[in-house]
Amino acid sequence: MSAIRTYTTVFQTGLQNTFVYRWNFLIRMVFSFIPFFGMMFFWKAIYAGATSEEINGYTFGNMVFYFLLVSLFESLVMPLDDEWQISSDIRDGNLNSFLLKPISYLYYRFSLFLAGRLVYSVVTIAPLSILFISFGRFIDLPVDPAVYFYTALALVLAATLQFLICYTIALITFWILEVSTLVFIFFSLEYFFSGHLFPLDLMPEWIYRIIKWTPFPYELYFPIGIFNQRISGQEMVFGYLVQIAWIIICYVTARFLWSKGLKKYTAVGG
Amino acid sequence: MSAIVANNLGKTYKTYKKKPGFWGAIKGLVSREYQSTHAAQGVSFTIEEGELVGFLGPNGAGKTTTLKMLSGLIHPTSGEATVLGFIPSERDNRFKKQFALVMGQKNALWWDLPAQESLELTAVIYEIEQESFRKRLDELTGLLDVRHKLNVMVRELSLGERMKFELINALIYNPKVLLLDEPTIGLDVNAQKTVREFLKGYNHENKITTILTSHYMQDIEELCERVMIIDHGHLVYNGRLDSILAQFSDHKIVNIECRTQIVPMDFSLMGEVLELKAQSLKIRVKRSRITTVCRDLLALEGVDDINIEEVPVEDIIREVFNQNKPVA
Repeated sequence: MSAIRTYTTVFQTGLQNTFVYRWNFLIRMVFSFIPFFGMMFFWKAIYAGATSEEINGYTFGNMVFYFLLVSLFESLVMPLDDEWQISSDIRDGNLNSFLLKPISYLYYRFSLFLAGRLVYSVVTIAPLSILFISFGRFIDLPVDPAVYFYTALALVLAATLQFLICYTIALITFWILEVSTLVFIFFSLEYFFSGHLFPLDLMPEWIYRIIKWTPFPYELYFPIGIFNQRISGQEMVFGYLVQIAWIIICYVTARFLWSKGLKKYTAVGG
Repeated sequence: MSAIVANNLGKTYKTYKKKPGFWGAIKGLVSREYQSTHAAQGVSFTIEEGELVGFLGPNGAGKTTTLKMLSGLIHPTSGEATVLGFIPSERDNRFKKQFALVMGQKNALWWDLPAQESLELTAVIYEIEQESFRKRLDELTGLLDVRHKLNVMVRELSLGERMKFELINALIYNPKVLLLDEPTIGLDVNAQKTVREFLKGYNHENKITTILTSHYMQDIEELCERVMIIDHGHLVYNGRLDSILAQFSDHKIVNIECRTQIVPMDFSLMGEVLELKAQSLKIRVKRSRITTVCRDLLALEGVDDINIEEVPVEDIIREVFNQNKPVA
């Protein structure tokens, strides 16, 4: 019980602390619209040259809605600078003060991540609404209430997965001080295979069959696919299972790296 | 049972020796030469409950390494430490709740929030009841005179105020053992004095076992009856501060001021001349010769004032360092 109280307080403190950066968030969101508009021009040109109205089942309208969902879901689940903060805690020895406290660093960071997501989502409601309203004619909301529930579940799992991946990568700082290269390599894979650039079902079938075993689609594409009703039934259940499996894998890896890293850290003396 | 026991504590770091220049860096990729640094060697001491012990030594002597071993932040390579019956490096939560480390150069408070928020979070983490938290907070902020700063963003506080809140943050959960690493570093004279007086009173009333490192001798002189001196990783002194003073301060410093020009003469026969100006003289004299020298000096023409001081503790400690071999 007291542990819950501890991490809710961390969460609340995180809320206040992140709120200090509200203007950064707002500006960041507004400028993330630039690639969105780029994407619109790009697909408009493609559809203009296409022989049919649909590409692999997507009309132009479907495509616009897809990218609107990318913007919305990303602001809900994507870590902002959590990996840099964790990495610098380790590098600069700030970890010491956490090691002295009767607290778990993993849950502490997770509480802060959730707080960051909440503040970010709230702050960016205004610009996102403007975006959604201006493209309102393409919005195609699902009718079945169950779909909202399935999407919400997939989003919660996606956020957990995204956090655990970034936490795990940041822990590598215990061995190599500068993890930015790793982060960028991972980020570019993520950018491509999570469905950020285009819906993954546009890919050749055989590639999609491989990447659906990787964690990437479950970071973003999976909840969008559910909401768009392109993923349902058995495929959805399979998706949840793989998503959960990756969460477990990342969690175990993170725990392992933490205990190994801490041994090294306490040997060389923070 | 002693609150802190260090038994033959040792810490050896293996550091990679980089050869200079670009080719050195390339060579380092293939074969590396390691160098062992003994940050602490055979450090043994015990500290009883409620004691306030000063821990002195030049930079890099092993003070912080020892404190980190006592905190469980680093594993000793040899020997063992017990604090309140726990082995620190096992990081037991029951140990953590009774222990605090404050480092003058590190910041444990939330930079962008008022100190109040950090303190409340600490209270929750250490499971302090709201009521006793309020009471302690009120008491501690009162003693350190920062109650009116509770709602100011930490980044807008002065260094002194921040340090005071760091102390409050560490003491709010009533730890039994407190390690202070340079708590007064960089503070102005007033803030130093407040912190010092606070520590004195707090230690006295709460019987908290404390180890204090400081570069300001005044901190040590006013707070610690007992000091430990470490140099090159070895404990070179462990005992009462006044006995080390007696052992090393067989000199006093005599100052005279004159109305007129001092008549030149060979003062070095009296002792070591520290400063000779037109109308003043500062001289270091052996204790046994002090009365003779004073009489001779007063016999000089135009002497206005004379005063006799103890050799500053800094100088004595420096002397211990310079000897660099175990004493006592």
